[in-house]
Amino acid sequence: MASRRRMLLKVIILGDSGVGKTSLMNQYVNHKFSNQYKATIGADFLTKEVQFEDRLFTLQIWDTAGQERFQSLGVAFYRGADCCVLVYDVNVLKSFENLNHWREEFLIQASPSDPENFPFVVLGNKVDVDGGNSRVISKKKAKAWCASKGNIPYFETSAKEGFNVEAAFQCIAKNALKNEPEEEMYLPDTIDMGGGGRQQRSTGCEC
Amino acid sequence: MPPSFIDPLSSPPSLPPLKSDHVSRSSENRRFGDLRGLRWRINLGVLSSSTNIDDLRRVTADSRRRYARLRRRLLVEPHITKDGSCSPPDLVMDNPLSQNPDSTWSHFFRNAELERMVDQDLSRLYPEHGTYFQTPGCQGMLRRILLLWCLRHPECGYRQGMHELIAPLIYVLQVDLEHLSKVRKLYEDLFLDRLDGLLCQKNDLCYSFDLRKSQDLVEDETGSHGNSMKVSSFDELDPEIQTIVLLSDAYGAEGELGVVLSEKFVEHDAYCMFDALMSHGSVATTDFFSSSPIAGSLSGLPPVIEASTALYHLLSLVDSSLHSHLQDLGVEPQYFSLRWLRILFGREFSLDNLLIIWDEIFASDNNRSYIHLVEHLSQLWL
Repeated sequence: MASRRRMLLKVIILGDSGVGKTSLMNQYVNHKFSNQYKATIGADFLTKEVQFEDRLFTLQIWDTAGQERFQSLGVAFYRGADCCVLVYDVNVLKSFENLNHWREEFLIQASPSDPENFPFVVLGNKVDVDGGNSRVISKKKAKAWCASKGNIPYFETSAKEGFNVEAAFQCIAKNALKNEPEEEMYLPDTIDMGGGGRQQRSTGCEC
Repeated sequence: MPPSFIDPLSSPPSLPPLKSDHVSRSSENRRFGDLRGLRWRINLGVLSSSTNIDDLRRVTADSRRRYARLRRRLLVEPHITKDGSCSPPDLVMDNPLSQNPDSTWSHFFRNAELERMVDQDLSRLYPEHGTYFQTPGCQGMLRRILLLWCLRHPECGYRQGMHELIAPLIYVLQVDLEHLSKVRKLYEDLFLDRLDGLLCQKNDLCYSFDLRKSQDLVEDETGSHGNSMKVSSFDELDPEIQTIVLLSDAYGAEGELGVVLSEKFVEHDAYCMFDALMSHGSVATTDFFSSSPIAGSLSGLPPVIEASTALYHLLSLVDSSLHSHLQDLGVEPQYFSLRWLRILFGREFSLDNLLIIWDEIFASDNNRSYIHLVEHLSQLWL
């Protein structure tokens, strides 16, 4: 088992500046929160080993700057993604309104083979702020939007308090895995996939 | 695997020995050895490299005047009309609900949105240096400089990372001022004598303002008595100290506006440095924030991608195995170099080391700067 290269799952986090993308990623991977995160410039990466149905995977999380224009990172950045996480701040209306823009731009850049069924997960972050009194987007409204876009799973999170972060990323990993081509999912354990799995995937999505 | 080597360096690497041409060119720039901010202002082209102190003062005053004008013109208050008079505005167009993009209120709201974006990043600027960069005074200067620059360059606007380009500029100006105040303490007689001498020559009847001022200076002297150095004549002084004294004489060309190191004009000076760095200094950084190709580009790629590609090409020459390893992993150069180029390595080094890197970048030739940058970077890499 140890000698076998684990399957990589590529997850991309998008959303407006300051909604907490970096904080969510760090809370999930390192179980830490800091008030001292700087604005992300370009992109950042973290990985985490996850276990799902007795198999180990490497979740590769690509964190982006909220203001980053898609052209700057190049299409390869988005292609081959297995799941896209859209984050907004429940206290900032505009960050919610922009979800549609982020989703559409992602589909253009990543051009997945089946855009209708590509796995997205939406996170409404910062539910802890002011005890929830300053939120401007209701859970109902967010869920309605997610339903209208092909039943996107929705989670309310607090990266600061670690609330619901683990559950959200479990769902992200599960959906990323579902997006993998079937034949790769059921490979017997003894076959060494080498780097092939990764490559195959990225070409598979470029058609 | 993600490119783990891009993680911010916990222990920043020491700089490799510099190439000989670099050193010789840099030594010309050691004129203001103890005044990094002043050296940068010269290297960035804000001040002339003239040896004449009066020239320096004139250019200093001019650049500050330009900033003051810009600030007056662009930072609008919606309830004050442009000419400052109180004539009633055209309420059909100028009201808060107006959809007219030219209305004063519309400008005001656009500025407010810009301000919100800028503030969001400023609150996250060097949080570990909280004591200085997070002080209200510094934040206010940074905010005004960024707002003004962005209003002045609407085609570029605010891009994340610009705030981290200004911060070190303000910082070095502040360090210069601290150095000045140290020198002033050490040689206070000299600063006093010059002022007093000039005061007496100028006018026998001292104005009350001047009286109060010299009273303060006398008190200062008694306060720090014992620390100051007694110097019999100005000419005996170290030339560096002489320059600092001359640069600080408020009675020279252009008066107070021309005092080269001045706490009152840190904001003005920082703006000019930032503008030069972004637009026409040794590194025209604005291009690295643009997502569209520059005019005449053969590749049709944004400049930051073009530069990243050049960097990868260079890497393939100096370390082909690392280059092919990264390529095998599907790592494109902009995944890590975008940040390097946009904020000039600000995240890869501690602030102290960053200043040394910037010394070299700003001192490099205008048209060869990019190549130097990349060469230097590659040296660091290896």
